[in-house]
Amino acid sequence: MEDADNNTENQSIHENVDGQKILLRLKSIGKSVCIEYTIEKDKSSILQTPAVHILAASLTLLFLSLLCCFMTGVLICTCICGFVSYHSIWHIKKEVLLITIPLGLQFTAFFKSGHHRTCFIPWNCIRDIYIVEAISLHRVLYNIVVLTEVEGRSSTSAQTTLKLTPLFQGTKPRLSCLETIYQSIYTLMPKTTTQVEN
Amino acid sequence: MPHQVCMVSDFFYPNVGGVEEHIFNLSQCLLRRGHKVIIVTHSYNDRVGVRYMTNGLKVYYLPIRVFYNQCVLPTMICSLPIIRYIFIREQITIVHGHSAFSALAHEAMLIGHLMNLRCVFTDHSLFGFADTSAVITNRFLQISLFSCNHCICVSHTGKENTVLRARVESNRVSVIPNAVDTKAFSPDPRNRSEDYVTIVIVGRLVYRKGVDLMAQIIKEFGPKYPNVKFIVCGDGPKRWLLDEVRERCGLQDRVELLGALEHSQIRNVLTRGHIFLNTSLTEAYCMAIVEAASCGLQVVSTRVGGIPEVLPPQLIYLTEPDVPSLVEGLEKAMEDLARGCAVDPFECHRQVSSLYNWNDVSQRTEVVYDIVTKDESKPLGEQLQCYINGGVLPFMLVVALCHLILKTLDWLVPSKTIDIAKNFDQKTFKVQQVPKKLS
Repeated sequence: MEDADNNTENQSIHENVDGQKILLRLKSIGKSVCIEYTIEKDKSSILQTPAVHILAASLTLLFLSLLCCFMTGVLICTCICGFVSYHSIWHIKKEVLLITIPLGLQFTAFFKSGHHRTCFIPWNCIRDIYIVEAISLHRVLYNIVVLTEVEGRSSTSAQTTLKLTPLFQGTKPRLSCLETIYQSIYTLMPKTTTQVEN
Repeated sequence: MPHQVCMVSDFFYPNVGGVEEHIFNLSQCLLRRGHKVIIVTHSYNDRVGVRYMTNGLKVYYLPIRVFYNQCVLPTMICSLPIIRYIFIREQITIVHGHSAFSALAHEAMLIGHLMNLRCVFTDHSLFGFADTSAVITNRFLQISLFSCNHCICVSHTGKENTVLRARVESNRVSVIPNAVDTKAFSPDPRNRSEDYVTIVIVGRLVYRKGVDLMAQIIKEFGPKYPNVKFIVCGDGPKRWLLDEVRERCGLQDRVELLGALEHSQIRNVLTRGHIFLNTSLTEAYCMAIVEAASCGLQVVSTRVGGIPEVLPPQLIYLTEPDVPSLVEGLEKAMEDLARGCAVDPFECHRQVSSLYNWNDVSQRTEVVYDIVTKDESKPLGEQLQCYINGGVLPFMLVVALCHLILKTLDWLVPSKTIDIAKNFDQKTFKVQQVPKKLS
């Protein structure tokens, strides 16, 4: 889809590492100097909604209270409700990566509760972007990471340190989705950086 | 036919030793021969995650803590999910465990067996039969080898020992000796002292390596031969003994204790020596004597375990594991050296090079892989029957539990949700420096 202002938008459906459907939206603004990548979890799954979680917890509470002694049931179900509430509040539903050349990279994570967290990396701090493998609990996952250079804060030492900042940690897209993003980012990169290799 | 091999052991780089060297060199040769090889080991301090070594050798440092003596705690089920995940994402067909002491290797072989993969095990050590620890280890090895298609031992003595203590059928055990990178251990007689006869000792200073014998020999040789110098390279709990002997006999100028050195530095030490002394009390295969012979040294060693099989008789003076016999061996070596009867260092190197090389080891290992690939998968009932026949009923329950967990994981984390890992392509890979800033 292309409008009169050279803005283009592409959508594709991928999977995340948990096997859930995710929607990848690529929105290019202007003449390829600003691009926005949005990964959103599929809303169609009714089991993922907080209302269903709370309902399930309430039913469990009721069932266990009847089954066991009252206090034990309440204790267990309080823990379950606590976990469900935490999950509902701190669960990421959408992540947006906005790259604006030569300003920098802005990454925003939107939580189910409605609030969001934003991180901005200036363009002059970015060295490169990679897809790397990392062990996460019992899985080995591919992650897209930004290699940044952070300068020493003290006035005496001008030593710089390299740091890896992982992106899309909440939606956890699979490799095919990460490759689409990675290749798209590299079309924006200045020619002096490393070449894209499939 | 190319294989997808997963080497598993608790002992790997940055740890240094014979097993570690064996795994690394074998993996490199198999990679060169077109196979896919990955290594799975436990984490070493902050070294956790996925790393790449020379020629794209991929190493998984699993986030599991060391429990005892560089080994993880054999829980059997805790590391099961991640090992299964790695096997699936790397499309492994053969699981190759190393060392009887490695709990991680035994766990991975069991998981691999339950996932219908082929399992190969390399035993690098010899064990006794009498003491409690040997009885427990042997029993554990016996249980573990039920899930193994083929065993590899590094010497014929090692094979005999493994067959007896783990009760494995001898036709399931092959002998493939270790090798040495002879190019890295070339002789250089110019480094030798002309005033002294230098005796070099390389190895960990532990009881098994015969440190008590070493101390006695230094004590006897020091005053008797003023033209003899000792260089001891290695560290360990028995170092104090050598320190004490050196102090008591006033041999500070003639006994050099270098401590633990990096493997790349060993050649520089070996080339300074005329004679290499090995006082091991038990050894399945001794890499140190092959490295010393490759550097052109005359080798004096105890006749224990698989050592008599390692070098041809003209390159080694074999002695009994006691002080008089070792002293006699050293004196004979010194006499030959003085008379000029010792084998020329370069001839010595040439002979070792013709006997041992890693390509030969990898070719022979490949034959074992081809054999196990043809093996038929055992159904679960038959697998469990092995444990009943072996008289280890409780372990059968553990295996059954592992099977149930694997089935649950097949439902919770199905294979189709696991991304297949990209293979390292040596042809398109270019070493890149960390790029400069983008602006």
